[in-house]
Amino acid sequence: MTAPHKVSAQSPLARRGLILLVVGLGLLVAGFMVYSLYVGSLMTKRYTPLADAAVEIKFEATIGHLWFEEIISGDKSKDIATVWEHLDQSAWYARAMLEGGDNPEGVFVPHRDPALRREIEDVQAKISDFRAIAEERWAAAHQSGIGSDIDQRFDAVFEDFLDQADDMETALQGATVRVSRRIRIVQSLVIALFLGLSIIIGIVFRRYERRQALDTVALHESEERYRTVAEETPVLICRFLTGGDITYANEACCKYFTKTYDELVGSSFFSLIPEADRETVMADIFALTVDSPNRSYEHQVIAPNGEIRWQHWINRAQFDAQGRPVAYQSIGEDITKRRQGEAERERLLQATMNRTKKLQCTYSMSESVCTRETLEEVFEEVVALIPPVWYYPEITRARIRLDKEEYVSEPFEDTPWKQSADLVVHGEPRGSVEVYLLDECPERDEGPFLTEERALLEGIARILSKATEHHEAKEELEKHSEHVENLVREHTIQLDTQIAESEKLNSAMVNVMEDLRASNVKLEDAGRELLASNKELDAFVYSVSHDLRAPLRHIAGFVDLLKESTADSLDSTGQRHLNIISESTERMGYLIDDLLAFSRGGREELHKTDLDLQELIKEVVREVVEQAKDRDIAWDIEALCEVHADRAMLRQVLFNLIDNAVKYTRERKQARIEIGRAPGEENELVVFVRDNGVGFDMQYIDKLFGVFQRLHSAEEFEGTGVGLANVRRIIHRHSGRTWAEGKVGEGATFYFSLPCEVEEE
Amino acid sequence: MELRRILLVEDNTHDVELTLTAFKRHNLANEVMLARDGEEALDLLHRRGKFEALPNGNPELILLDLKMPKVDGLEVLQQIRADEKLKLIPVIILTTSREEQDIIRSYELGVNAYVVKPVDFKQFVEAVREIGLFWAVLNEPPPGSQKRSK
Repeated sequence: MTAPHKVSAQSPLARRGLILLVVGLGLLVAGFMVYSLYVGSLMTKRYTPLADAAVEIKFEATIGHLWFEEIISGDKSKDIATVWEHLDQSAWYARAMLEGGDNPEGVFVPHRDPALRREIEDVQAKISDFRAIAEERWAAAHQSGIGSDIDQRFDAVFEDFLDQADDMETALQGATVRVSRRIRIVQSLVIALFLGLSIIIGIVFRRYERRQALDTVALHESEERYRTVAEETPVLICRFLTGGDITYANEACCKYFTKTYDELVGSSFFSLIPEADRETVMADIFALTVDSPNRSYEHQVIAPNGEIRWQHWINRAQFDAQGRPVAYQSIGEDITKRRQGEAERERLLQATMNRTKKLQCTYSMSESVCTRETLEEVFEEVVALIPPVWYYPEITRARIRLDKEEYVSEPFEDTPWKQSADLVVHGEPRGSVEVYLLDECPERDEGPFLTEERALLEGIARILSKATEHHEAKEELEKHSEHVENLVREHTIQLDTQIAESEKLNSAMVNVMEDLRASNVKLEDAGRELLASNKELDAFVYSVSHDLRAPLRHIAGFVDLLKESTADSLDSTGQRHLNIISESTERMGYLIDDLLAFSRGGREELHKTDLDLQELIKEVVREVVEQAKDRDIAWDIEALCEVHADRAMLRQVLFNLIDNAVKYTRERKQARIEIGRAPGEENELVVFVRDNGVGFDMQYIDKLFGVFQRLHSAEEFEGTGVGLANVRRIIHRHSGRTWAEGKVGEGATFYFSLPCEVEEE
Repeated sequence: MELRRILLVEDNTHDVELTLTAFKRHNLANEVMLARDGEEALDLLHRRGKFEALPNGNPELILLDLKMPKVDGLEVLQQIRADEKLKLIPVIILTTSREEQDIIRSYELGVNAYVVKPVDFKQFVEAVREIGLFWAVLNEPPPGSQKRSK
């Protein structure tokens, strides 16, 4: 609660300062005002004698002038000395106006206005002029005798003086007005300054007031918050002075000590501390310094309802400016639950550790059972695993007995502190697992052992029993499997022999296959080569035929021209020779054309379509008949199905065959040509073209389809010997066959076949 | 009879002589200009080199051989068809080749006719006559062709 106090102590101080400032400023301004008023009155005081003096100067001089005239005129009642006295008086006033001075009528302060001063100096000069002329006249009158007149010049000098005195009076009035105006301006400025300052101070004060109001509200809120927190918190808060007198205790604190607030405040804090801790706590509290102002401690207390509770305290000291402790604050918290939690955690940790140890033991044991080959090894390991898991490992030992065998980690000692579990194999007790202590130890759950330890021992015994069963079964199985293995080995040897034999056979087969594959590859290569050379041959044939045509045309052309030009001059032999040349070139032209067609048949790609064979035959027949209109030919054309073939090429085939048939029946009066379908193999269509022409000798059948092979002379039947070769070639390209039958003088039959199935190409 | 200009593109002198003879028989020889290979034909059509002085105008018909040194007939045809000024000129291939690929390619490139020179001179003369009659007399050439009457 120190901080809020500071805030509230600070504000009136500031306020006082501000008020002092305002009052000071007010006084200052008032002083200014008084001063200016004073100056004003001073001015009045100063100028009144000056104005009077101005009048006196004229008055004294006028009196002196008047009396001098009367004295001169002969008035004996007056003394000339009085005249000089008046004139002196007049001069004195003028000097007082310039240099200061005092007489019963007032104090003269000289005026600083330069214009005025010049006027006064002139007046002074005029007075002395007048006195000089008066003295001069007096001396003259004294010699000539009293009663003489005053001359003109004397009066003129006096008038001059009076004029000057008037001027000076006017100047004085002007100067006075100027001064008093200046004073008024100064006064107005001071008043304006005062008003301005008042407004500024007013604004500042207003702002300050508002901020202070806000501060006050904030302070109230802060106090309220602190109070609420302090009152509503379950934490005990208590403040006390150095002597222990409690100055504040919150509600929780009152409840804790089962006292009312009024009872607590004023009582001693130290009396609240349990006696056992009091000395220590007090020592602690008084040891607090500015450098380490707080300290905490925990202690056990017996609550008024008899409960034992744990309490945590923090004591904090507050110091004055000299570092002396003035008060303390003590904050207490009930940590019984935390303490209990810690204890519980400790217990659980211990339990977990025990479990882990046991788990480790069982795990190691299982591992041992699984990985060790013999029971002996397993038992030896397990005996060593048991003691570390028990509560007092140092004095715990174990022993395992199976039949007549005994497994121990150290020589067995018979002690009264032991536990044991039976090893039961296939329902028969065969031995036991024992744990014993070398020394007496505190009584536990059951005898010297924990319930858990008993359960663990039973578990170990069970695992070992199962392991024994398992190992014995395995040994039995091994014996049997050895026998089976022998049997298998014998059979394997037999099998191996058989396999070796079949492998020999196999490798022989593989060799044969290899050979086959090799020859296949060779065949394929040969086929490819053949195809390539065929293509080359075709290209060659085309090129040759093509290039041959040009010179041939030239020969034919020029021979014709020659024939024309020599028709009259050349003899009949010459004419005949030229005709022979013409005919030969013509024939060569046909040869070349046929060769070109043949080569084309080999080179061009097949463009297969479904086409009506009968329709195609009729078309060809019409064309052929057109060229042999004079012939009498009986046609017999059977109905034929559709085929899948290259139309142009098949047309060439049909043309060649039908054209041949027409050609070779030339000598028949009644030619007969049959076209139809002949029986063939499965999936093939066989077409024949039969004629009753000259026929051929079957012994030359091999030559029939060869290129340039002819069975008749050109004289008998024109032709080049390419037509049938082309037929065969085209049919072969359609995967078909060609053959022929004939007999000299009885006609010939030409066959070709086409695969029936529609090929996809 | 109105006669028009013909450009014969042919490298073989014998063929030139025979063709000109054939034209002569039909009184068309005076209308024939000759280019000895494809390059010369293109120079002529574009007024390049020695043909610079030739007056403007296109021939009404081009007879084009296929197999020629330097630039062959198909290439000449291709260039003619690709040129804005020349593409309308009728072009006839007059060749020895009956090769299908040549025929297809020529038509693809936009030839107007494809004639295989017959071996027989009489037939050849007849063929030339028919060509001359049809293309140089009956046919109406595209606008911009040089006309000449006899």
